[in-house]
Amino acid sequence: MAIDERVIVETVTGMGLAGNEEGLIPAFGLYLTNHYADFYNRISFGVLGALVRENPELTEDAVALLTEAAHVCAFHTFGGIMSSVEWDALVQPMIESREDWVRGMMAVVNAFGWGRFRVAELLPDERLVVELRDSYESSGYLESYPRTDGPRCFLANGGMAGLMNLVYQGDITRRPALTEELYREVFSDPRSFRSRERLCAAKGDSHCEFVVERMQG
Amino acid sequence: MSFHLAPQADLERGITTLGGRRLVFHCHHYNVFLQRTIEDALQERAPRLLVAAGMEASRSMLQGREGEAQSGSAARVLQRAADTFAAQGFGRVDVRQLGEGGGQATLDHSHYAVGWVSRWGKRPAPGCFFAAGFLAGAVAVAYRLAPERVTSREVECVAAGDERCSFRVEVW
Repeated sequence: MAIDERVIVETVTGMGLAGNEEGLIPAFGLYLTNHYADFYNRISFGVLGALVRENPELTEDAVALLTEAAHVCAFHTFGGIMSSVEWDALVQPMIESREDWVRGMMAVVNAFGWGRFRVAELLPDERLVVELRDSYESSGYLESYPRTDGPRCFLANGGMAGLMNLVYQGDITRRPALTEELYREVFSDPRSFRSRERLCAAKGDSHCEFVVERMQG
Repeated sequence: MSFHLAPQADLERGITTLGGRRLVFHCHHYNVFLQRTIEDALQERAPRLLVAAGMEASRSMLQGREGEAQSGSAARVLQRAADTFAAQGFGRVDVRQLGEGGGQATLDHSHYAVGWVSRWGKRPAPGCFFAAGFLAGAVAVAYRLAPERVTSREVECVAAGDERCSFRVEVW
């Protein structure tokens, strides 16, 4: 059975992920929030703008900070999901190859409100190209700021690198413990995956596109 | 939450909205890591950005939603806001001591406090900035106040070692 994205999206959406008696959403071994895109966008673009205005030479560093947050997100969120009983029940039966871990996770993310991801190209252990439409980051950016010269989907961009690192670098298929040590080991490897956002709606492209490849360590 | 107040999902586009504003699922690791990144980068200026962003986001959503919900009394608007806050996974907030002049609110099981402590242990000062902003936004919408008239800050925080999280909302 191949990955059936529609079934996964409808099932995850139908799980009714909402606060329990304590007002918390424990799921996939995590505490989730159904948070405001406006909040993430304001604080992310706000800190980026402040740092760049005050120290333009720190632009790359500021982007790196937001990318690091995205790597942490991917490692724990995607890793937690791919290690969960919910994954075992819903996605695992559809998996026929390691690449299906990538496709299956992408289908789950399509139920999270981040926009619609589509795998355009996946070369095992080598390269991933993903298209994203209705990105909450780029659409949120354009609500508050003029069109930009550079990409703005820092979370999605870092998240795609994180996904490839989990599958091919950290071997999430073996269900390792998602420790800080493993995070450092995976992401500081000189040949780990990094992503670049080649197209971004915030700079006028029709959609966003991410290219994930190994660094040339 | 009654059906008409529940988030609306567009599965084809991967979009979920409430009160016309987009919602996105994220976990505590990302939430507290991003907050810490911003606190480290902006230092003493960070709380202002984090609280203002929380207020702006919640106010936009609540205004949109209350337009659909035929609001009723301010107390009902505040309670619906608290119920929404809990449904979104941020914890259980008691808003019964809030009124037109502001007041006190307490929060049990704060997502940000729980997440921070689970990741890094205690912090030296309160850290539930989003919740503080949310409460300011809720008071502004419930009493139809200009947003600049409402401020909010956390005065006790579980993540800072207090027994509970509590907030002081002031109306100017």
